[in-house]
Amino acid sequence: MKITISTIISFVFILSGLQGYSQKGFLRGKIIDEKTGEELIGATVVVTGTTKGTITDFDGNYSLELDEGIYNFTCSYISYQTQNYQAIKIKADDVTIINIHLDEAQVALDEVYVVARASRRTEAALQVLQRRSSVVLDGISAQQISRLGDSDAAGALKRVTGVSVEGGKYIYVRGLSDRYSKTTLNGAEIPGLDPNRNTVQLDLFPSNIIENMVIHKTFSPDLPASFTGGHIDIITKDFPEKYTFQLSASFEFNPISHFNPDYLTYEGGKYDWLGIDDGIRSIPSEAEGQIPARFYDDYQLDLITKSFNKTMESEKKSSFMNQSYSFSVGNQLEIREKPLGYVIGLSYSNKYNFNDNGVTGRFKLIDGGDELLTSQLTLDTDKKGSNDVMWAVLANLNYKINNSHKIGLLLLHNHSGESSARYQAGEKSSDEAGMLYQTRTLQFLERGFSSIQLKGEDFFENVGKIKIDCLSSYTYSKQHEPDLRFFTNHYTLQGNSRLYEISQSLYPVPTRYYRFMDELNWDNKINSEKPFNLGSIDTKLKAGVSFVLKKREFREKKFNFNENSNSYNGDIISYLDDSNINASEGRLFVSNSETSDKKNSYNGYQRILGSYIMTELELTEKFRFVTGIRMENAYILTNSLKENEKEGILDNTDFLPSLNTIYSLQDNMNLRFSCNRTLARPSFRELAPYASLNFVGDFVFIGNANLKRTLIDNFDFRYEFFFKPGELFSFSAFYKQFINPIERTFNTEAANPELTLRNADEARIYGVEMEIRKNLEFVSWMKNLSFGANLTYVKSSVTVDPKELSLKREFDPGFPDKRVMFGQAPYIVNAYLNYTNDSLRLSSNISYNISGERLYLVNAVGIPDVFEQPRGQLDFNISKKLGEKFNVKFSVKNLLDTKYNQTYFYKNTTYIFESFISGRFYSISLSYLID
Amino acid sequence: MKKTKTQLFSYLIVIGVLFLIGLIACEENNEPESDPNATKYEEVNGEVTVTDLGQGTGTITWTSDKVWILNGLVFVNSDQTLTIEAGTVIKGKPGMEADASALIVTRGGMISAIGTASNPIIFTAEADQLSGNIGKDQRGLWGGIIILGKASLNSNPGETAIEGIPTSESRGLYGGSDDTDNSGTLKYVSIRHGGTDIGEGNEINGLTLGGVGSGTTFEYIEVISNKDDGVEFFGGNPRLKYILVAYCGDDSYDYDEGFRGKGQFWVAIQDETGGAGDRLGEHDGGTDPETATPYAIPVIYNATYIGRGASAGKRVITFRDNAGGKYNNSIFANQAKGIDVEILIGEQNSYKQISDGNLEVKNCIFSDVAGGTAETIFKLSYVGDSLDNSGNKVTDNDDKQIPTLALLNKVDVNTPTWVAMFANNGNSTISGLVSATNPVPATGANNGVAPTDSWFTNITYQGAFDPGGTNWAVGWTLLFESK
Repeated sequence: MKITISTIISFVFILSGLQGYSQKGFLRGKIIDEKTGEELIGATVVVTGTTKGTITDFDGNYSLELDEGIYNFTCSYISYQTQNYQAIKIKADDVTIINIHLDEAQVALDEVYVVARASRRTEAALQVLQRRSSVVLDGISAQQISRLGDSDAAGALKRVTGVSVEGGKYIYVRGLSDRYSKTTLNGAEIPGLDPNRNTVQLDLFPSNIIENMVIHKTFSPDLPASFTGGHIDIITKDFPEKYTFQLSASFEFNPISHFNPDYLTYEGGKYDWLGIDDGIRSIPSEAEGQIPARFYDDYQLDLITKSFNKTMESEKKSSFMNQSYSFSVGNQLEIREKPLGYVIGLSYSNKYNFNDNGVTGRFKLIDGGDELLTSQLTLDTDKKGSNDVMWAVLANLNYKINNSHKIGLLLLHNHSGESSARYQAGEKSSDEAGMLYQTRTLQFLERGFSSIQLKGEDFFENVGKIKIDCLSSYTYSKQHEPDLRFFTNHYTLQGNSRLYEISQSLYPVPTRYYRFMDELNWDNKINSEKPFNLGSIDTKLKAGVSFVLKKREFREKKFNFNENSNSYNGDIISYLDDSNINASEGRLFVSNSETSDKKNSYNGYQRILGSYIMTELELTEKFRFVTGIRMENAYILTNSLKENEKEGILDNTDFLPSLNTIYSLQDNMNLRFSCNRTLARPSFRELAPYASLNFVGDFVFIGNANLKRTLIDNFDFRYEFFFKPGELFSFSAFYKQFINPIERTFNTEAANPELTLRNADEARIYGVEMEIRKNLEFVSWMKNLSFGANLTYVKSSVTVDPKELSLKREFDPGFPDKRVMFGQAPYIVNAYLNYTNDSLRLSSNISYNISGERLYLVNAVGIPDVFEQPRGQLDFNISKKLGEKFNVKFSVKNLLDTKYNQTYFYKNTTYIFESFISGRFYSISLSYLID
Repeated sequence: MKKTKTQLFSYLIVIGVLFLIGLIACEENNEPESDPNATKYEEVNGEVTVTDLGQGTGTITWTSDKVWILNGLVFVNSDQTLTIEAGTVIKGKPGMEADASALIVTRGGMISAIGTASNPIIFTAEADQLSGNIGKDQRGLWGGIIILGKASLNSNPGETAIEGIPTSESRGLYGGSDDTDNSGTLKYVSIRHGGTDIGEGNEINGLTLGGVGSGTTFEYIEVISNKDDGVEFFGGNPRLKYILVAYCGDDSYDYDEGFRGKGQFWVAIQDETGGAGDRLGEHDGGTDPETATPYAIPVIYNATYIGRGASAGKRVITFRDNAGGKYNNSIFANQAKGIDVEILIGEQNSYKQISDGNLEVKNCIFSDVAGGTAETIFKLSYVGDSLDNSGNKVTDNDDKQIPTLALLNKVDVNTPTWVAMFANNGNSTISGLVSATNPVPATGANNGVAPTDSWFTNITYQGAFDPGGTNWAVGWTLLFESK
């Protein structure tokens, strides 16, 4: 692996050297229609008074190679106003960028002289996209991400209207849980790596590979139909206009997590710094086969028991601070006189996280008439140390065969490894007062995916001006969790001595899990577009097909460590020592259940065929109308490896109509209305009979093979006003009705509390959203300030499963028949204030976000549901340019240091389910930048 | 314009074709529905391996000339009767969780396992050659026996899946409204070395009785060296006489979900040398809510419970979760802690069952238990702690909860206390009355009050054995050697 990385690094440097050879400079940019924002194909840019010039390609891009000097340019296009640019400086080995917005010609064909202003791809460009889009859309650009200082996609997305992030990884759009959002990479499906979730973990995308992220909030038939809250498309950097080079290093300090001698860890392998297990956590070869029961082959059984590594307890070791490094280079090369754009990005981060102030509690109601809940478990010691390593390599190549054909190849590999050690201790009062409980968890989670995307864009000017783009994306992904170790025991005090015990009837014996999930994803799509002029009406017809194939293998192996009697005396090392391993004497021995492993292991297969047709009609200058229908045929099969387990099968063909109307009140003001139907399908894991638990002592979560897909009818209204570039005001209202939503519930028949999923009858949500972005330059002393704020307010309700309801009503006759949807936050607020001073070359940003309490856990009868409490986050950063190419940035995150808090609430009293404080993060980063 | 039309037309055709391609959904999943196979009886060298694929044992007699091997969960389905001849040996295959073996008599199924003192029926592990190759104290080598009936429970809902059996297996359901339900007879049956882990912290008890009705007969049953509890009752009202539970890994007698049966001559002996066993009796009332009805008020006469000694720190009996229960004429011996009754902030709890007359310990002898005084033997316990409005613990967990509760006006401090009942109910203490090896008192222990209920054998001695008399467990149990 080291070889691969050094090869890539040297390749990158070779590429970066290439830019020194030419003596010429370039003028490049994009030409778009000022009003519609559409790229203009075939517009000309010429050096005024000469024949030296070029025309734009089908993306509206142009590129002109010139000797060093000062030039005047003319840009023209039929029926548009010609624009002149004067005294534009072209430097050797440099690229001057001029993006041009052409206005349709008025009565008099005047020429317009424009003072040239170089503009990079900024949020203004994203705003153009937003304004001209036929669907409701929000987004965040690379520029904003860098200003806000977010290191990955998840961090950046939480700035977007209606978006909140759970656990630093999972996106909630409009407060709807991750089930209802979908993430794609350049439009292609990528697998979610957490088998317990149906979404992509967004912390895997470092921000230096991101060009922008777009969130579609309403459906149009050319998008996959399986989203309701939002469809997030992560767009990687592709065709740079000029040579760019960026190298940065950043260091972050947190007073709780870093340089703390109490940091918890455990012995890992040689490549943990790369997030790769070197095999130290593999299943011992001795334990690969069948494990004999006691009294069959005790000699062999002892050999197997002894073959497991002895570490089941965390150790204290001082932690380092967080470090992250990123590098990217991009340029355009001429190959056979055609431009080849490349972007290569590398990033690496190594972070330590620790907190020792955690509290975990479990409560229940003894009797419906009680005033208080009774504690079952209070873990007032909860320490967790984790070391997260993440790296990514991206190469994106795009080649323009000619002005009408472009091909692109994206290679991306992401990898992350998280090694964590947790120790929890406290009182487990459910069995007996004075019972002191200790549990340790050692975990290593290796996640990664490799993706190859091949795409082509073609424009057939002579064949009816048809545009076709096609994409084939192949992704292999994995989430491996080798040697997840739990060691739980309790003790009671007798006088001054502790009586230790491992009690199998109260909690599982020491256990090791090995979990491997591998998934292949193959996404293919072809989209076509053809313009028509029906009389005076401009129309566009779009159609396409897509074929997505997904295959998953999930394997689990579990090993228990048992004894005939109890010999545990509080010392884990001597307990696991070879001298205590002897099956025939009834001392420590390992056991497993092949059938249980088979039951928990499953294969998933999913095939979705999609096709659509839609039309965009510009009925009048002001009124656009986009409508169409998408058909999706989905076949999903999940089967457990255990025979006779019910297979989860979904086979549906759905027709999903969509209507979007856009009425332009003014050039920069739109009214939008849309209605459409979308769907949400259960994940493989949710269909499998797989039983898992979060930690020892918690409820088991089990899938349900009978789940159906959810259909959702969506209605959206939006008013938007882009009063200046980079500024906007928008207001949206939405209503969604869910048929058969998949919700968490308790399995009422199970002997021990067991969480599962059921299709509820129906759910509804409605809400409003508001966003404003504004420069404060109208007040002279605030001219360097701009601010933005967005607010989402949502109400949701879902019917409670009738069986669950009748049981809960026996306890509490007033138990409501509806509850909020799982994970639904009632409000989300984001706000920021930017300060930019070009003369001081200083910029600064302060931002705040918060989302309201959300349902975290649906509980059993007699236990109130658990909610995650709002946790406002205030971040600040300031950066300054030093010299030509250096930039230094200082930031503080989580200034308020609010408690992470999940709680029960019962009769005016709040009870802690889990809480901790993470502390503030101070970071400094230095980057070297050429662009 | 004409050109446009032609283009539009040809384009539409192309789109149509694309759309059709999309519409063609592959129909590939038409697997034939496989019929559930009949139960397999595979005989090799006199050993018959029984594998239940859904149809149960059938109505059948398992004869004593063969050894019957349980391969996984074997059910006696509804309307089937399993007859087991005296002297028959049934062995369970090893394996935990989904590989666990057990015999389960479902609701509506019948078992007739009638052994004799000289020819008991033995349930043991496959590896047990009945030659002493497996020590008496070896636990967890197979599952156990589960009997499910139609009697009522206080759990919510009144029909539940028995622990460890997935809810997708409908034969694991128990509970109903027929308290006189009859699941058959178990007599002279020895259940050995069971209690394998059946998944996520559940183990199989030696003998699990879920919603079993009073029509069922249980007499002369030994449960020895079960990894989990010896006998566990989930609701119902079965009646059991002459039960010996020895060397079990968890509790000896455990009841939940509103058990209202009767018992006489119950023996529990813990493994003092091997260091295993939790409580001799773990007695729970309800689950969710704990105060559900019917309340657990079983009546037990003539128990002899012998513990692990003072150093093991274990308890004789815990009454909690609103459990009641009446122990009469019994002997409790050799344990660090006595009998604790749970008191909670709520009105209805096990402590309240005392004043309601539903929880009694009467005319019992405590031999070497918890320091030998009423105050040290009869304790109140406060299980769990609660937070007040400021998030502070209401109670200090070590002890002393009662004053706090009294301050909260949740306990009437003037009602006769639990401790006072020790003397009021004719209980006494002694030393060295019985031991694990000799549970029969040489003399004394004859101050009981005869039961009035005709189901009980009308005797006045205390404990499960007639002092100075014979040990009824000798001859057919493993503990007291049979074969």
